[in-house]
Amino acid sequence: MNRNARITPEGVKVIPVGTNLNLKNFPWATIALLFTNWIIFIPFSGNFYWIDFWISQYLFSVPGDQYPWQLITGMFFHADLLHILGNSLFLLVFGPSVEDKLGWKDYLFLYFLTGISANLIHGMMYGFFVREELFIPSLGASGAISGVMGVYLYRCYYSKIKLMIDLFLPFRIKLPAFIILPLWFARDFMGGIDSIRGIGQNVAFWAHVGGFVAGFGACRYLHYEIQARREKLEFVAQTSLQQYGGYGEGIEATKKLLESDPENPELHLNLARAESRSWSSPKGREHYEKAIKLLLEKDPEKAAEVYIEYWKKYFSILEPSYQVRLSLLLSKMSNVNLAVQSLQTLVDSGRPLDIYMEQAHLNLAKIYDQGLGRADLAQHVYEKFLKKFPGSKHRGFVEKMLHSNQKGVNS
Amino acid sequence: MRKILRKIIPSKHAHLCFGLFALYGISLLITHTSHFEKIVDGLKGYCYSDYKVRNSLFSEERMEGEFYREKYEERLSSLAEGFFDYHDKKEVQAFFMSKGLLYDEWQEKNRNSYLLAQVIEKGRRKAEVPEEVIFDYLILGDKKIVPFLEYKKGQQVRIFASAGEKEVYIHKDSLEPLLLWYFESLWVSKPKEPKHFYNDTLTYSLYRDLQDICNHIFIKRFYLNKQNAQGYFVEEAFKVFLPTMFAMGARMAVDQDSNFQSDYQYLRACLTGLSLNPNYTMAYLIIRSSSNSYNPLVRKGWEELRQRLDITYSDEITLDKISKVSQEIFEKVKNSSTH
Repeated sequence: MNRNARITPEGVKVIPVGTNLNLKNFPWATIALLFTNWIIFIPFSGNFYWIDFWISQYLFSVPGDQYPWQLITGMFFHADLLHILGNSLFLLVFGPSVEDKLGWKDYLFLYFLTGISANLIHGMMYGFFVREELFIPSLGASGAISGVMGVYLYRCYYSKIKLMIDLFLPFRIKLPAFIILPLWFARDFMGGIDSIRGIGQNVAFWAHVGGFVAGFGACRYLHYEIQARREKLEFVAQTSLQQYGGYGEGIEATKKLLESDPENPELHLNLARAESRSWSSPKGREHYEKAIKLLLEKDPEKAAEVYIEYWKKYFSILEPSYQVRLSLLLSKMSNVNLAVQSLQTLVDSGRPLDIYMEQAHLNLAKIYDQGLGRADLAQHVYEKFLKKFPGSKHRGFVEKMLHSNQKGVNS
Repeated sequence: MRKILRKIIPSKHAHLCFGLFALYGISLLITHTSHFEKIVDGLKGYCYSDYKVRNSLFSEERMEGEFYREKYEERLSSLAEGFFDYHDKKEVQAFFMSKGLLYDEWQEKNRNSYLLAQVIEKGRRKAEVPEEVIFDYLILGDKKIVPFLEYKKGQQVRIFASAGEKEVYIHKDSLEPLLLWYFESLWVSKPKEPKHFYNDTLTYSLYRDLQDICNHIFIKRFYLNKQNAQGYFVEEAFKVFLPTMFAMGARMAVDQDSNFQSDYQYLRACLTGLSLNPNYTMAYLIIRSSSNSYNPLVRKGWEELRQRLDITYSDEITLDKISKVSQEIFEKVKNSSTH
């Protein structure tokens, strides 16, 4: 295709096939980048040497003699099928996780930033050490992909990379990202040293090194370590708490997360579930209550659902102010029985008689009367109400209800 | 505008973009290539696409080579405008010589072969091989454009000396990479006594030729600094082999006006070099670099040299033997060609 294009058949022996991270969003930007690379590759993969010549002159990156746009356009061209397959695989493994963590805008920003830096650093190293190779065009997305790998190492250092040792061996292994990615970087660095010493391999190793350093450095400048630490705790909490045994690490991680975000209902809920897994512990109860209280503000329906879970484990009620709201939600959700049970427990609990207790009595009576058609039980609650709250502003209403109920009962 | 600036200036993303611009600026300074470098690249592209045409087996490949050659030709002529006419060899030579480079082109089987190399030293020498000859020589270093044979066969080809139109070329790069390689491995392996050089035939040959230098650098470790040691080793070793190369060059100068075939000429030069200034390393390298000549006389000459100087049994080979055998084979091929 051209005289000596620097191609990057990434990972010949150790091939990454995935990571152990789960995605929250579909990686649109990564797919778009892959699509663009292939769309550009397919029409130019034939032997159209007259086109190739112009492309290599005006669109590949030629450090010694180039227009600025070539720094970007060179990233989208590939020399052959193996080249684009290798790069696509690496992008598909590392890109989605990085995009998921950063969001598509920052992801694309860093992709182009590291890709351009990779081409510049590649050119600078050749400018310093092997000037006669400054005119050799370089092409491929590997510099930008190395940048993505640098970002991945910074942001997802806690994850594991699934590796295939050889294309034809049936087994796969999982290695921590903080081990395998620096090893890849070291391999590229040594390759770069070799290329300076004239042991050429037709691979732009300095572009890989440059991209990786740019990606890692940009993350450091953007202080991604704060999010990275948090994401690690979330990841540990999520994965460890799902295990049958040995979830203590998850509990610790969730507690650490709570220190920085004490009003996060999900964290309280996760911790509550973990702490109540074997037996109903006071700590579990405490976190359930906190989760329900916080959810009542953000997602009342979920709060009611969590309360059902809580009730099954603890047969317990919350403070009157919350319990009254929960009971109303439960009755709205047609879980009248639990609404009644919880209100009845509250009414019989002997808690200080405040407006919420007043409300609890009224609600309970109303559900008995209208929800269950048990006027006798409603009457009993109204009577209790009059005894407990003789000066209540609802006294008139209760007496009226009692009167009409008595009529109904007598008739 | 101010609002936009107020938004942009504190943004870390904007800072990264500024950093990228700075990197671009630095890169422009470092990767800036002079007009001369562009000319060299244009010439390189032209010569190598010409080799590609020459080397191509299929018409498609040939057409591609021709297309590239044409494009590089256009590029070269526009770059060279005002400096030289690239069709005029003398003008091209004068231009490159003013920059310390030798340019040469010659015909091999009606096709062009090119050479562009750094000139390390130029001078005139008198020699007896046994004919007395005075010749101009150039010691060439790094090759920017290699002759067709080297292009085709890569590192398998090791040409110590060759004949130009007027001068004889001594090729330093025929030994330098090898010397660097051996320096590297010996420096790391830290031999303590002579027997540690007996690893393989070539290391042993090098040791026999460069005993003092090897003792000095690797055993006694007079140099602590690796770079200084390497420089000293390569320069001193080259000085040891240079007389043999000069003898080869002298033979080429004598044969310059003859109508000998190039491979026959090279065989004669090698035999002369080894007979007048024998050394183990070059003998080994000459014997090992197989010649696929179509000329039966040349093939026979190489074969005999290989058989009689079987360097696998190194200790049986002495400098006298190398000299004597080379002389005998030289006489034999000389007589065969004249009869």
